[in-house]
Amino acid sequence: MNARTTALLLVGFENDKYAPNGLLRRMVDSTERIDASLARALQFVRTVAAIPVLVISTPIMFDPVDATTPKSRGILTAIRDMGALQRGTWGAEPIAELAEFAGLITTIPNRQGFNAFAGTELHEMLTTRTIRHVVIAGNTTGLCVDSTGRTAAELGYDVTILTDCIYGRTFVEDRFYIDQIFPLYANTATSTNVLEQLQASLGE
Amino acid sequence: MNPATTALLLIGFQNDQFSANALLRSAIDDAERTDSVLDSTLRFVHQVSESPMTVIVPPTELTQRFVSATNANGILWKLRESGALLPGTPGAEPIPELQAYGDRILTVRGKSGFNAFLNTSIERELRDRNITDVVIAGAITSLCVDSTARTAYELGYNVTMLTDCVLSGTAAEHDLYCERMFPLYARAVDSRTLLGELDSAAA
Repeated sequence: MNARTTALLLVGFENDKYAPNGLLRRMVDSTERIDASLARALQFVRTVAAIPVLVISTPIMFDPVDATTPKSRGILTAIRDMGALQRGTWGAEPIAELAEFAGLITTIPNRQGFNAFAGTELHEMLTTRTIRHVVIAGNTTGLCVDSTGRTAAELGYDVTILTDCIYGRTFVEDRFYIDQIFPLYANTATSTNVLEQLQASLGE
Repeated sequence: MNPATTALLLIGFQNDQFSANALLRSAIDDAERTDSVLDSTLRFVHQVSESPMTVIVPPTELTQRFVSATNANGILWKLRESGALLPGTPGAEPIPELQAYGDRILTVRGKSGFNAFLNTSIERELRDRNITDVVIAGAITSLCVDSTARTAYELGYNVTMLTDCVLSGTAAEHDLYCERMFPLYARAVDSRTLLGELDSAAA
């Protein structure tokens, strides 16, 4: 893993996901897992700020429903119906903890579903910056992290999932994806381990 | 669900996965599960083949160019190294039971990874036929089936997963997807139930 050709993707760091009164926290069986993964992710962002890694945020936010809105049911519709992650609301804003990294983070807007590559300029951005390796932190494990990770793999990127910087709706979901699913297309590693790899690459 | 605006996607029904001595049968922990999924799926296909439902088969062919671009530790590499699903080989061809349907089934080439929408014309085929509902069967539950179904959902289709027609490596995988993941973006139902609904709607 070469730091200069690596991008960290922050998937879903919005108030509705992480803030104490975020609307979506109650969809998760243990808020301790949310908070623990956030602390590790912020620590990772803080340390990679000192090395030349591209940091990209891919927030999910929903436009008001109109005639072009897909009519299919499911969790995205449920989230929209709850009023969560609506463009222009506090819930869809990046969490306050990311404010100190505003100059570091490039935001790729317009994600409306699980997959951060669908309908966004993420692939073009990564291509333009000659990124080879994508490192993923965020939520939720079995949905946006998985969809984004496997699309990155299919687009030809080396993918690493930061096992201590993600959370799923349940502990079982986290364990299953980390143990069984992610290894089918990605590397899994802790943020400490990835940081060591990135720092080592700069010494080469 | 109106069969005229519904498409059935049959994922991974290829010789290397489903034929009697298939290379990839060993990836399934219970040999009977492969046969059971095949039986249920063929029964479903037989029934809907007499309806206006669109039936699409996107065989996976692990092209060197595509697989080389993916994670060298990943399953696509391992599959290719094992000799499975190689372009132009009999193992990569759709199973004869589906080929027997001839033009009744639309074969769409280009799928080389998990997601049947990537590098294929499926999205256009669905749009050209004014499809609103997508029904999915096939292998493997957590990989090609899940990737393809999620993309269909994100494109705005109503997605139905046939729980007895998707092939999982383990029972734990099957239960997790059918009970916890599929319901997040699809309706998960067994093929007999769906056939009953289609029959009563047609009556």
